[in-house]
Amino acid sequence: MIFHEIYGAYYEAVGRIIRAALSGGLDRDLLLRIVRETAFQESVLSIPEALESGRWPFLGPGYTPRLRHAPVRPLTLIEKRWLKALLQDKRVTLFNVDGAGLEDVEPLFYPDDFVYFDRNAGGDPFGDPAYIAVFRSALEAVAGRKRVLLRLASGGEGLSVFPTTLEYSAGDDRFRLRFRTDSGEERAVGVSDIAQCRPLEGPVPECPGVHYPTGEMVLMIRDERNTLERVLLHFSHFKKKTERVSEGLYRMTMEYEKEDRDEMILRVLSFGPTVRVLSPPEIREGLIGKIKQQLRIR
Amino acid sequence: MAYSELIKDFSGIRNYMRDFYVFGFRHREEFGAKSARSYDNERRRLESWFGEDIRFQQTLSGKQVFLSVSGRTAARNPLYRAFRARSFTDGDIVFHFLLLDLLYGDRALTLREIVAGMDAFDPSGQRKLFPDESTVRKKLKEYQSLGVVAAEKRGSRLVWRLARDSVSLPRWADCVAFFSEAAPLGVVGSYLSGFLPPRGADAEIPFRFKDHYLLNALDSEILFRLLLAVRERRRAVIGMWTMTGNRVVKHDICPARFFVSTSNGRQYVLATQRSDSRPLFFRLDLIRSVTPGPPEPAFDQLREQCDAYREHLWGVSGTPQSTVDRLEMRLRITEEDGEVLDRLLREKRGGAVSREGPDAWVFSIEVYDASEMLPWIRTFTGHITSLSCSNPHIVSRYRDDLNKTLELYEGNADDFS
Repeated sequence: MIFHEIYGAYYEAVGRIIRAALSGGLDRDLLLRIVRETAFQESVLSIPEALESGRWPFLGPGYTPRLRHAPVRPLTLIEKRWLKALLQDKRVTLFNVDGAGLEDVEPLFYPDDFVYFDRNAGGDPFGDPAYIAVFRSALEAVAGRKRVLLRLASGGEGLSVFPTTLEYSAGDDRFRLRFRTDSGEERAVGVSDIAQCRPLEGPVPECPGVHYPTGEMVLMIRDERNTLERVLLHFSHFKKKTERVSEGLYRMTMEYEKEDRDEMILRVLSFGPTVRVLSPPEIREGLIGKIKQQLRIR
Repeated sequence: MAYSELIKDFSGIRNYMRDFYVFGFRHREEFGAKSARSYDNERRRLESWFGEDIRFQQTLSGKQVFLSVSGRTAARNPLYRAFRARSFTDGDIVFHFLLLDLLYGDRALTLREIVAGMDAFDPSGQRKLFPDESTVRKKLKEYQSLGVVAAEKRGSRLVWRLARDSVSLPRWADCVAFFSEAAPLGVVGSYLSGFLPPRGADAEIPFRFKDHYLLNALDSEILFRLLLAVRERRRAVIGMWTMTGNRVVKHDICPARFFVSTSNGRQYVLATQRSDSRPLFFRLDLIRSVTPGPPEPAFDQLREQCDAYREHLWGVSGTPQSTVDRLEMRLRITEEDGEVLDRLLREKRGGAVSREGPDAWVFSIEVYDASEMLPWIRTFTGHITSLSCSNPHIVSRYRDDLNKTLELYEGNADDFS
């Protein structure tokens, strides 16, 4: 079973605490810090008491260890089978991993067990050595917070940029490299559109995290044809809040990424007359424009 | 029973989590909980597990609790945290760490030696932790089925040792970080984080995911049990909530494949029922329980039957023995609208696209249920020169909806009717 205490946050926290005690550096402050970092908000009410009272007899006086060895748990069968399943995935070529240690287990699943029925055609060429080389170079730069020189397959001058993240789209089965230019502009390019990605020496921005300029969209939803559940599920991956306005009528306020404005128009349009955009005007007017254009064709 | 932030059974809190994450507008009284105490306990657990991601809003009707997370900026699915909250007894955790200590390295001990080692550790000296060998034997069997320990015959002795593990996990760090969010049962990948070099903040994880549907994490146990049934070529009995959520109905199925939507995250199992061999889809989020059944001798044939059904599917709707809907959509796409054509070609699934003139394109398809295509057809609004379908309801519905949508915006701003 997937849901088992052996994978639990409490076991992980206690394991870290025992290791800290064996290293000789455990005190109450460190114990509490480990619990807060590893387990849940209320875990500080239970884990320290269980260890300090001796109910879980792993610590002696002065937070000294009673066990002799750092706890090392082997991977479980489920964990090994999951790793083995990854080796069947076409995207695993992007990573430098192999099946060493997994020879005797069967994959938990195979790629053709799953059908992503609305995935778009034309995903990235995960088996292409040139693509793999660019991906690995980009990954190293993102993970190591380094600048790169990007040359695009379409030609042109190379661009010195600071890459921030590799963003994957399950709908397109493609990666984009998001980066920041020296002028502070946030941009993205498909990894399959990059001919070369070479590390460069150079300054790194002070706040190198990922930034998505966002806007707020407000929708009014009439719960007919099971629209409410469909809309809320469709937009569930956005930060949002929903209020009931009256019987069968709901207002949803959500945060969307401004670069996806055109996509938002299409997504709302797909729900037909049971969803209405209240704001922002550019999405509302964009949607109205499409309908009027359609009526002119007719 | 005293409150604990840990839980024994995941199925109860699954619905609360789904509601807080997807809906988030219901008040305490609307949850139909056995008591207000049940709601309060579940809410308190979710607050402890999810911290700042749980938000509150006070309205005239009462307090709303909702889970607000951006799937795009989160490098790790926060819903996985719930899977790390399984309850256990004092005996369970003491057994776990004492066993790892006793069997450290390549040590191999008999059952009696393990019991003696644990008793020696008992500070009370009263053998409170494990009163007898049978309890330790049961736990060892459990850990053997998990793959943590292995039993070996050495001469006449049966000894236990830790399972041998030669996977070099640090090399897998980036791979696990990606696939924990992009592969099925990614929650298992999240369990591996304890073995990998710590990556504290999300900022240290190099991946992000566009349109990242987090919710299907809640169905991981269900998916896992159905996958095991497929691997073992077995039937399974699933307990399904009805759409109203107040009853559970059992179905005896042979699972074949899993269908996943990348546009709303919903997961389905395509299976045949014992009572009726036609393939059917079952939503994983409506499955409450999975009980393994007997091996199915006709597993391959039933799976092939399900695969044959896929030929005229647009998504997950349609009856395999009915006639198909033939749909044709003509579009005007100029050179300036290049991305519209690109999208049509990427999104056409089993349909065909051909050119009829300089700006004239036609898309055609045969499907079991063309009504399932209406949301996608609407996204080409502004370019559709004609729409025809052997099911006339589809065209009239598209036209009616188009007019009603325009009325929404040309009428009173506050009047939805």
